[in-house]
Amino acid sequence: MNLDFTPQQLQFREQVRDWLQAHKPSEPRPDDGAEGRAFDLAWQKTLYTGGWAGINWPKAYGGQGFDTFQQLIFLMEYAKSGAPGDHYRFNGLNLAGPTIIACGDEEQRKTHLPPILKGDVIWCQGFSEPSAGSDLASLKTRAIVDGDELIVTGSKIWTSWARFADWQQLLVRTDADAPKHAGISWVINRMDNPGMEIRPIHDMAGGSDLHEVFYDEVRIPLKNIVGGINNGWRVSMAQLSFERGTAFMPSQIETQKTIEELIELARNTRLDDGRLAIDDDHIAFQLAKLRAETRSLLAMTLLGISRNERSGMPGPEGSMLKLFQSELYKRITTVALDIVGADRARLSGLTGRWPQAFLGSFANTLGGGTSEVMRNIIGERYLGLPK
Amino acid sequence: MDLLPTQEQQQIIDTAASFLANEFPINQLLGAPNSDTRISREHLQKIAQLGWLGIGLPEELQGVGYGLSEEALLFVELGRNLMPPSLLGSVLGGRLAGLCGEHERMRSLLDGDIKVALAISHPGSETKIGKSISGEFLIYEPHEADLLLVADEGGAALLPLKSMQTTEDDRCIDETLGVSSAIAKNVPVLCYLPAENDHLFLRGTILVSAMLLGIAEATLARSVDYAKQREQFGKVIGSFQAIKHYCAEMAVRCESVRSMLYHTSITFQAQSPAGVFDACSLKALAIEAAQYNANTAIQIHGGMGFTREMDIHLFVKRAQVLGTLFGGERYHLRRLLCEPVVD
Ligand SMILES: Cc1cc2nc3c(=O)[nH]c(=O)nc-3n(C[C@H](O)[C@H](O)[C@H](O)COP(=O)(O)OP(=O)(O)OC[C@H]3O[C@@H](n4cnc5c(N)ncnc54)[C@H](O)[C@@H]3O)c2cc1C
Repeated sequence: MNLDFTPQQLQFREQVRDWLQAHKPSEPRPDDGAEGRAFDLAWQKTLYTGGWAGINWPKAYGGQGFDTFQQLIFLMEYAKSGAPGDHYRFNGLNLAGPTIIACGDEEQRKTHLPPILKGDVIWCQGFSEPSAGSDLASLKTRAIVDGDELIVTGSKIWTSWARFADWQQLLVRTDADAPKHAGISWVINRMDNPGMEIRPIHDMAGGSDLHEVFYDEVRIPLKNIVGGINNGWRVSMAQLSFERGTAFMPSQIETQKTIEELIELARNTRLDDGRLAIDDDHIAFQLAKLRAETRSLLAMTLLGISRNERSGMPGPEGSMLKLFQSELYKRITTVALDIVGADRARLSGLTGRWPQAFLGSFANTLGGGTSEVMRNIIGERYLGLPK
Repeated sequence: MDLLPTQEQQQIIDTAASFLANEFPINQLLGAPNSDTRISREHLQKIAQLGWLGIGLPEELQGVGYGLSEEALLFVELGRNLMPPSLLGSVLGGRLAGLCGEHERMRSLLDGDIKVALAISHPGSETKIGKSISGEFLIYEPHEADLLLVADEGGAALLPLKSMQTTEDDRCIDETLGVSSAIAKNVPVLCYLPAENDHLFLRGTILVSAMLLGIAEATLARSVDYAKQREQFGKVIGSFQAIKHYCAEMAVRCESVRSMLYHTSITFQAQSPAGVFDACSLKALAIEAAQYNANTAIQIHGGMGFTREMDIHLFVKRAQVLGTLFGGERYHLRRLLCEPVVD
């Protein structure tokens, strides 16, 4: 049981810190989609040139091949530096890229991996469908083999960033007669493929990064199937084995920043009875509890990483962290509303970020698997309770 | 960086778990009359022979030479097995005597020849702890106790129980423990250790949190076992999401507190600024986890959970008692909010 880094690791930390200080963008990321895309790609190019692209990708595929601790150190320093989050780069770097590394063939790797690292392309994920959300394996979008192509017809929903993406990781049903997990394929699709229609969805927090995507006899070369036809469920699970427990580091540090900023806000905000928010017992205790919980989020992340490092396998911590972190963030934003009081009504101005965060927080306990589904997974896979 | 127990540390856990299961099975407590004599003097001496009472004391002080991490791991097992809090009195008392240079007293504490009861300030009373103590106190396990340990943020002291004017025996919410109240007016202590020398109060906070984690884990394990075997509507109740999701919530709390316990045992031992921040966070989380898990476990066990035939209620009660030792939830949350930000 120790929290020590080796001298080499400490030196590595200095190196990361210095580079980020010198290179991180000075202006904030633009909200606008097209400008955001350009910003994200430019930042990825800078990371690539600096030798920091693909920290968890093997060297053979152009990544940095960092070990778990280097990844941990990098991500900690990255989040602390205030460098821009993954945003549109997320899918390519963390989902599509790693899947192609794990399950793709050499040609797929050669074609698709370098552009992700170099900041030339944005990827999105077309998994969920109108009738296949939590029950993803019941997806219906059909793909029929026609010569050396698949012809895809159906629709996807909730595809984040679709209209700003170049490529898509798409799950389709290639065998309608097989049991539901067995007839799915994982394919690479171009977002400008003829026969596709992309419609933005306006979310409750004012964003429009979610989309419906319709496919009308869209042709995709068979060679774009990754990991073999009808093997798509296994392929999408392979992403998980890539995950070394460091995935929650950025959101852990974000959460820590957020709670500390909120405590600072409470020290400087007067309630309608004239007292400082921090002097209100109810608010103070909630804030302190959130602070304690955020601290344990760090400890949980470190314990998870230690476990993965020993067993070489991702454990149950992923679902626990996802559940804990997303519910915690939601509670933080609710307490924030209490502190800003009537100013909760204003989305602009100095305190506007708090009601804005409250509105956005609902996404966290839905996207990437709902809290209820996380509790099912913990109950069934970790505790061994029957379905 | 590796937050998991080492092989050696795992051995401490395993040895403790099997010794306790053999020597102090929890079912001994079922139907026992109200008492706090689960640990007789012979028992205490037997435990002392395992080196447990001096496990975290340096070898210069004739301890085993391990640190706070090992001590904390042991206390998780003691908590899981509902061992009495006076063991914490012995451990902290031995440390206190040792650090005060009272080697003879320390030796008899570590050998289990002396039993140390824990006392807390009576809620609402003004207490003073120093070279002499004053105020109103609650004493857990007063029977057969020789010494009393009192501690606050300023320091910790040992004094003879006899020197306090104890009032009548009260019934304790936890029927396996005794409780009485006592009033002190400038009662001189045997030894007093200011917190600057060694923060015994926060060390106690961490070790009580470890015991609370033991309770959270024990009640989760019992609930999951029961949920896998009890059938209603033709299915085991663990297949109902209402029950499954309770269990998942309990599991997350265990994970959160165990991680924090490991983290805190390191930062506190290293006397890093994060140590206090972590200890306060830990206690608040541990109280919540133990109480949520134990209380929920009753619900999961149905009517049987409400009876004294099962042991779940003992965990519910013990969780309440441990929550009062070395600062309750409000105390630690308030203190946490005053701490500066840590990395
Ligand atoms: C911000 C955001 C971004 C997203 N990005 C993408 C993306 O890029 N690509 C993509 O493919 N998808 C994406 N999704 C979709 C996301 O994965 C789904 O929304 C999610 O899996 C839930 O599916 P659903 O919305 O159909 O809800 P449903 O599955 O219909 O769930 C409705 C309610 O029922 C509950 N429920 C469902 N099944 C169970 C069960 N077995 N046990 C208990 N309760 C259950 C749920 O917890 C929920 O409360 C995104 C979603 C959000 C909110």
